[in-house]
Amino acid sequence: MSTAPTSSPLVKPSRISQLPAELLLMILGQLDYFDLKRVRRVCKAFDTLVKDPKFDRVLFRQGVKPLKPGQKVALHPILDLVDCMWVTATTATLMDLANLNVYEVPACDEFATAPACAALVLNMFDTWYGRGEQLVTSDVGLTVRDILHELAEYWETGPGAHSLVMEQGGHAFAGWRHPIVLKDGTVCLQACPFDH
Amino acid sequence: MSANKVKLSTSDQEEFDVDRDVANRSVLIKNMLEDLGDSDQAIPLPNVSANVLKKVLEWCEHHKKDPEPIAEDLDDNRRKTTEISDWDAKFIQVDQEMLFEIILAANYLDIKPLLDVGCKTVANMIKGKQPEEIRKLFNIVNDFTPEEEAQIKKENEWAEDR
Repeated sequence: MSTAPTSSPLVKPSRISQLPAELLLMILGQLDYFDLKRVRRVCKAFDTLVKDPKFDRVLFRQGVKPLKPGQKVALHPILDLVDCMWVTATTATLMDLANLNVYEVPACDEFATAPACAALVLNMFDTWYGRGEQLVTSDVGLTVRDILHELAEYWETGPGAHSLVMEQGGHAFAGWRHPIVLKDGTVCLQACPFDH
Repeated sequence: MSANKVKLSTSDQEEFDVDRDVANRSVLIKNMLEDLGDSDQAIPLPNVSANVLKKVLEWCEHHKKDPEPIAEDLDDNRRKTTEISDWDAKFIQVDQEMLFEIILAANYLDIKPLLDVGCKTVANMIKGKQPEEIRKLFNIVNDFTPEEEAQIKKENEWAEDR
């Protein structure tokens, strides 16, 4: 059996793959969450590069760090896409992808914020109802899953279960405000209602 | 040779007479010149060919009066928002072969702003593209098994067209 190389001489070598890893990391350093997720799927070498700690922050893998009041933290993009009104303990769908259960995708176990936070106040439409603040904590860092569970609780048994929004079957969620770090280092995540 | 000219010698034995302030855009050359003192000797650049050096010097000439880059900024967010200038965007409109040669040369010659322009240009080519489009654009072979590919695709389906 022949063991001759199978690569065809007609295939041009890939110049980008020949760059030193250091330079590839610089290039990939310009990309956002979604681009990096796609780059992972290009080839094994790229998949390995994306595992570099350099990308921990942008890929929501960066663990808990002490947060300064007023500091900017990023919110996991999947939380902006979740149909937040209809989250239960077992199902959460995306606004534009109704047949996908967020609980089943690996992104669900990524941190909810970058850098991760140990304590977060979930503030649901409190400007409307004067209620709806829930504190979630985790020493190892809150994940998307933690936030979804808290949301489910809010709607199922918490203040949300008695809210006008639910009683009227309305759709009031219009995304999240940019997370803010409060004085005590807790992150405040506030829902943004429609018509506001 | 005049005090404000330096001689550079490429991998393919071509020599370039360059203004000192142009050559100084390269930290590598700048350091070598400081070490050499006043010398007529050509500085050897064994990693750069004449056609690439010509292009790199064109960039250095245009940017010779730029202020010294501020000490390494570690904040990635800041770097992301810096746009490529119109002149640089036009300058870097070259074929892929030359683009990667410029990146390698800028890295070797230690010309950070040029390296940045090169890396950003490649990143812009990747942005918003599907894996298959990226492979095609850069001649990359897909070395995932169909099973691996299906798995990784399923995991990232939600992020597909974002």
